[in-house]
Amino acid sequence: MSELLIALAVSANSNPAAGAGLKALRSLRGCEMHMTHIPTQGDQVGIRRLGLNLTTDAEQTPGGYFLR
Amino acid sequence: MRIGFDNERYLARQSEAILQRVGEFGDKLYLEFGGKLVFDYHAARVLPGYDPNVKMRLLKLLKDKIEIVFCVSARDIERGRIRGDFGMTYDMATLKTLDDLRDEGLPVAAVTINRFSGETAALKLKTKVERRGVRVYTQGEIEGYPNDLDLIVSDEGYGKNAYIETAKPVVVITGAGPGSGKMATGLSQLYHDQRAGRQAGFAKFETFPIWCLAVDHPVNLAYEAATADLGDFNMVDPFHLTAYGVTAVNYNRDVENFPILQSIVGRILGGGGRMPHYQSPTDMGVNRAADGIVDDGVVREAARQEIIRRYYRHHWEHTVGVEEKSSLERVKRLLGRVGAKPEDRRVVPPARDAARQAEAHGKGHLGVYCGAAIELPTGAVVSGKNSPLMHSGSAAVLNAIKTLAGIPDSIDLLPPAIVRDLAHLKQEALGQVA
Repeated sequence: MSELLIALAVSANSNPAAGAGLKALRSLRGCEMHMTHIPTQGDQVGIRRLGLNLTTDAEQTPGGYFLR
Repeated sequence: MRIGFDNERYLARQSEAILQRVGEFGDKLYLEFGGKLVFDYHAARVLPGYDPNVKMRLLKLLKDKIEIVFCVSARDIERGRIRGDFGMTYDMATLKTLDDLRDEGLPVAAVTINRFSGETAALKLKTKVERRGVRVYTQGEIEGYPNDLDLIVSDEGYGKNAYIETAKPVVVITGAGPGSGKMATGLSQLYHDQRAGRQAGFAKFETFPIWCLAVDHPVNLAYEAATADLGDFNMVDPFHLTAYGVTAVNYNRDVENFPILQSIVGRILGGGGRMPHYQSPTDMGVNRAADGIVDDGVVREAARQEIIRRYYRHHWEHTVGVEEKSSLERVKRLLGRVGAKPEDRRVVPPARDAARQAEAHGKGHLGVYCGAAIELPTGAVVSGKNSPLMHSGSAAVLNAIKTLAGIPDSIDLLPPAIVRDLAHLKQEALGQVA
């Protein structure tokens, strides 16, 4: 998740759509989110930093028990 | 978002109540400040409109009359316990809170490291805090607590603790998490003040449960859901009912601990074994959160949604093995009590639909089909599914910001080549399983 957001920030200068998307990220703070599967540690950090209230059905992904 | 809570109204009533309580005690009031001092997101979710930093604002309103004593348990520091809300250890959380308080211009009288018995990690924290110019006290555990009243309320008990010098009329005692020794610190101060002939009192400030809402009000049940791992539950305060004939809600541990607290304080103040000012645990509180509620319907629905969130949180933690089944069962029962089911959370069905669509359209990755959904501030729900290049969560976030920014679906936020290169970096170079 973080790498996508960084890529978005890097492209913002040359791509107006990416710039507009980047600005919209702030509006996600406090929004509700649900996922069917347990997100990776990286995605969990990214989602928390965006301020989304995340829940999940907690199905396991084939990544196994050690989620990165 | 529909607003259910008015911060300004709450701040006015709450600060007034605290100052009124000081007036009842004379020279000094020790105010035990429970819960989170900053970023109280539980309260903000349950009481829409509640400013997560309203407690800081309250302290700033009372700035001229207060100073703060911060408690931390030496045992929590030593075993590297992690504070959930900050995601950091208790020593780091202590330093962070001191920074937050300094940034807000709030005076910290001292840090007290409780339950101390020479732990190295605690001594390191002591040095760090002292170098910042804040006084640090270390207090050992009192033998025989809480049963041996003769020993506790004596020069060998509270009398052994150092007296924390303070100058302002209200001393806010806060701390890093439960079990930090806030109550013991307050009572020890009260003992010393009494011995020196100073008039002092003790009160508690906690937002939840809200004592004047019904025991089964969703806001109070959401508090039970939040503390399901501790097994706390709300109950009608029997002492309050007997003394005044008024129904008030308190949580079980405060009710259970009241007789012993009453004996200790009674003994300190010499009120014939009873606390002169307080007939019940509810009496000890100065909570005016109910005054801030401006729309009961809004907070009820927000609290129901919070209980659903807690259900999913506990289910998740149970699945990965960090939570007991009993806590999950408790939250399930709470769901039933507010007449809610997990699917009442608006983002749940669209996330599951997205996973089903991924499967139907041959998307997904390695035979796994994941879905994610986000509810936007406008009320619209957007979703995302997984693919070999992207997790469902990332797809949902990108779709959400596209919708918010009004970007047509046909335009890519990121060129497909970049997304492919990122996936390559993660899977090939960094060796992560997608």
